[in-house]
Amino acid sequence: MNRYILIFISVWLCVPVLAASAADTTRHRTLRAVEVMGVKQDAGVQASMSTVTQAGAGELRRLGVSSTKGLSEIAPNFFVPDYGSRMTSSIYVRGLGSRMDQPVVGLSVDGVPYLNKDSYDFDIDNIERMEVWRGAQSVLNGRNAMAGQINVYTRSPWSGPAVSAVAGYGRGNTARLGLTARKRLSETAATSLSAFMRRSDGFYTNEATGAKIDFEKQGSLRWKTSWRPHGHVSLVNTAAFSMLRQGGYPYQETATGTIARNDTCFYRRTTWSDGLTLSWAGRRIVATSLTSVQYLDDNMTLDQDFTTADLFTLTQRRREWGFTQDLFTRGTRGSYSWLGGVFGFYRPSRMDAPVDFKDQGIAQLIEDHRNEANPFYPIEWFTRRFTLGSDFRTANGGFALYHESRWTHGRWTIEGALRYDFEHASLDWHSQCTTGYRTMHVLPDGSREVYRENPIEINERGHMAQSFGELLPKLAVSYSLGSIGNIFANAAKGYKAGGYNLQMFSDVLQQKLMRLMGFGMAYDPDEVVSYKPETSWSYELGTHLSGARWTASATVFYIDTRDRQLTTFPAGTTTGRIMTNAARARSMGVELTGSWHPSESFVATASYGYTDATFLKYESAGISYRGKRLPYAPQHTLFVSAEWTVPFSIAGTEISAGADVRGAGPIYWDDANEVRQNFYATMGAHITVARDERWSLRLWGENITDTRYATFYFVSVGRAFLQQGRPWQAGVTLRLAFN
Amino acid sequence: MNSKILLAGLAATATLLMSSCINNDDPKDTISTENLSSALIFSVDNSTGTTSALSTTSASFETNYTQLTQGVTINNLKLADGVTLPKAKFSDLKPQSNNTGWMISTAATATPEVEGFPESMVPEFTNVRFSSINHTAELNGQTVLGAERAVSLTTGGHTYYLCCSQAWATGVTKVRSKENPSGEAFESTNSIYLIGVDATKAKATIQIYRAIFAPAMASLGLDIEFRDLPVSVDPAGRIHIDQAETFDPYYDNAPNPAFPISNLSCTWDPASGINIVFDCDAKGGSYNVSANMPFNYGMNVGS
Repeated sequence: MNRYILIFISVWLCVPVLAASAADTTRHRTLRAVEVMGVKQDAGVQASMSTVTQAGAGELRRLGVSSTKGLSEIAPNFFVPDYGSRMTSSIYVRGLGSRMDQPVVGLSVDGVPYLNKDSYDFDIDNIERMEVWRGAQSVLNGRNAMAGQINVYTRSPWSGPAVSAVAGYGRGNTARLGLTARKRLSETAATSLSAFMRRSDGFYTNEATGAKIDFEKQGSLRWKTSWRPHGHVSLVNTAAFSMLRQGGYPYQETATGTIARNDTCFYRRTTWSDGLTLSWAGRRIVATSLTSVQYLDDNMTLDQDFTTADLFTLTQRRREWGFTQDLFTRGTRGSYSWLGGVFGFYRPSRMDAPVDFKDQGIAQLIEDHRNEANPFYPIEWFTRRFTLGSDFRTANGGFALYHESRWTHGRWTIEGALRYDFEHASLDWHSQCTTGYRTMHVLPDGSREVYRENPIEINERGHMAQSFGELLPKLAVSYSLGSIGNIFANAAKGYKAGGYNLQMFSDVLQQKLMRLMGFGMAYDPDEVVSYKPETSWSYELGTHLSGARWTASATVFYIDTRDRQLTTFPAGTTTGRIMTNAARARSMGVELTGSWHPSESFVATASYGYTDATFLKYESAGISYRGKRLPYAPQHTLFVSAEWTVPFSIAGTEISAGADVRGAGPIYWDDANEVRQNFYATMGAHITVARDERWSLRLWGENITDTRYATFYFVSVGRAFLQQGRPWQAGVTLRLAFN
Repeated sequence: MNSKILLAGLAATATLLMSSCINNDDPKDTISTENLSSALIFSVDNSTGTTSALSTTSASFETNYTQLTQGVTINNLKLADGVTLPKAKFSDLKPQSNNTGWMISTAATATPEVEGFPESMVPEFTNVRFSSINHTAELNGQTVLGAERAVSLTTGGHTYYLCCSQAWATGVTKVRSKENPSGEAFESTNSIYLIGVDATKAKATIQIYRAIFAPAMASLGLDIEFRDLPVSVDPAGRIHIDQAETFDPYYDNAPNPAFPISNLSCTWDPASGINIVFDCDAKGGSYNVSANMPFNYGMNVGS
């Protein structure tokens, strides 16, 4: 770790750094018509009062970024580990993150807010710009933007070549194909249609079957239409459809060092969405309506023990709708500018989540424990397989009112904002199980006779509901240093919605089953699965500086999180975990970013993040974790990249070569901080031959040092598992554009 | 044992065995009536201290909230002289002030109204005493209600005791290692003890929810049952369940020889509470378990 920090500090001292800007940092700076409709967070003024990392199309292409995961470590203290499947979108920002229902970071694509974090991880072609706003962004973005907000903007149909294509192939039999067609329908309308597919055999092998376990196939369509019927009115509609099928979950048992399981694991997902943005622009005021409808249909099936033993499997099938409506206006009058609006959403969902107990699971998890207590009257299950069935209907809905005002006086700019957010969550649950066991009597000669039959019938339903309202204020101030930059400070309240952790229902049903057998503590389902909102106060102090050929930014932050949502064991028990708002944590640290382009042919960027995140209060099963580091979030993130471009004498082409280093860690995997991944770094490199934007051929490599590291670690049924980071990869990408 | 039935049994003292209603026949008075469908009854010869066998009957209890009186009706009250009063209704019992959590209503003398009997044939009773208390506990995420009712009354040189056929109590369970009896006791208030008496068989069952016979059992939440225990009564109106010999407790409806019970002594005073003590040979040691559980445990009451 010290070695990597020393390298970075040396680079940072030698290279004057500035805040990363939204500008395209490649040599060819082509001005594009960027559709700014529906943008609440101003990349200019507001960015000067916050901490944000922005990457344009060129930089994203240079770094091979096509999803939110790609910005991991590039934005300091922004960490998106790649593990499990595309459903496990656990994003960590400044030490805060969530593996459960509600995320801590919001995501919007072309202004459409994604309501379910299980659909956050997808590839998009034709990204115009990505932003990672850090700190509490709840005032403008509402629920679940407690630690940050990711905004993705796709390319406008007004700009770009008529036809563009991308084709790539790499290790792991990984292939991608993308095709985009743009057409101006008239002077006032333009449309674009993009199709994208990606497939990969994967890199990890299931030793039990010899097959690759992390294969993936995905495809998507995106149809974007822009219409400006009137000088003051414009509409943009984006319809998107995607399908995904992947293996995933390449969890390796630490004791054996192998991935081996006998039951299938897969994740299948189908999504579609439509977002309509309608804007009316007056002389001093712009009114915008953002309407969206989203649909998610997915199926996660897991060999829940991740071994070759027949213990138990889980299936989670879901169909979910999402409807959002955002109406806001923004205006300027002299030194005063404002934004205000109202937001509403509704998200109904149905889920079916049966857990199948199989032969060895029945034996090891039920029969053996029970028979150890009474070997003279052991039990035998009726069948060697039974299902704990659960199905759910949830409905979340809410509305919010928000307002932001900004005054500029001389060098000073002051911003005040307030949001009231109300939400109602309900859950209808149904648990069922028909099974049973017989109690045997061991006779003196060792034979057995049936002593008693014990049928088990569970068929229960319930309803839960809760409402919560939050007032979310924000205050920010900035002092301009003239053309060189500014100093800013802000304080804001963040909010993560409450709700119900449906995955805990398997615990409820298992406890019910144990209760019917005469042991264990049965808990009220409401107490086990429901949780209240989590809130935070975030404070930042920073500076943005820039010169003719450099940018730099530095931020220090402090976050106080209360009513942290997590699972705990009630005092005095080691079974029967419950959802609770039991912890308080604090996170503080520093972020540094910079770029330097001393000439048109060279650019270097760097970012570093440090986070010290610990529990202030947290107790589980009578053990206090006060002072322990928050798990799963890295203490350091590091990113350094450099690119040289050399014009070539043949037909206006140029060659560019670049390299980058990404690092993160240490990462603790448990609340007790007993297991961890040390700091690790991976290196990437590429060589690109290009001619303007007509074509480019890129040879690339990722993790070319083949660094071995763990991206995830957990313990299940007494066994420890981890997922290794991806091994080295290399490939070639060809881009073509036709006007 | 099936926990669903256990839970019902625990609640039975208040719900299955008792039903209550508000009777407003007299529009001026507010009266509630509780019906106890299964009650235990026995008598004591006060001159010799001899007790009769336990038998079963039914009773009802009336509370007049307007007049602040209570009444007890006992069905099929068999007297020592052979007379059976089919339905003896004792009225106008006056509640005595106390701060124990119990409602205690008494009458120094009372002659019951008996259907079909002329007043001249109905004996006078003395020292009529009706004790009642309601108490609650949490079990499996539900609140269970206990309703203890105890009646004592004297006539013809015999005292008659009546109570519910089931009762449960909770309190402090103390577990001491028999290898180190002077050592510090492990204490827990999680266990609930339910006693049920079958008068026709003269047998009792003790069910212990969240049983703790050894410190290691504290977090397991086991439901244990002691079955087919001999029952006796004493002249003070208490019910005794004693078995000195070793026996196997029941767990999950099957006997479990893994932790035999011995030297069991349980005293149930329907007007006070339950006291239990026994030895258990659990894995890892031999333990003495005791619990003294007044029915008003946990209530904010005076001495």
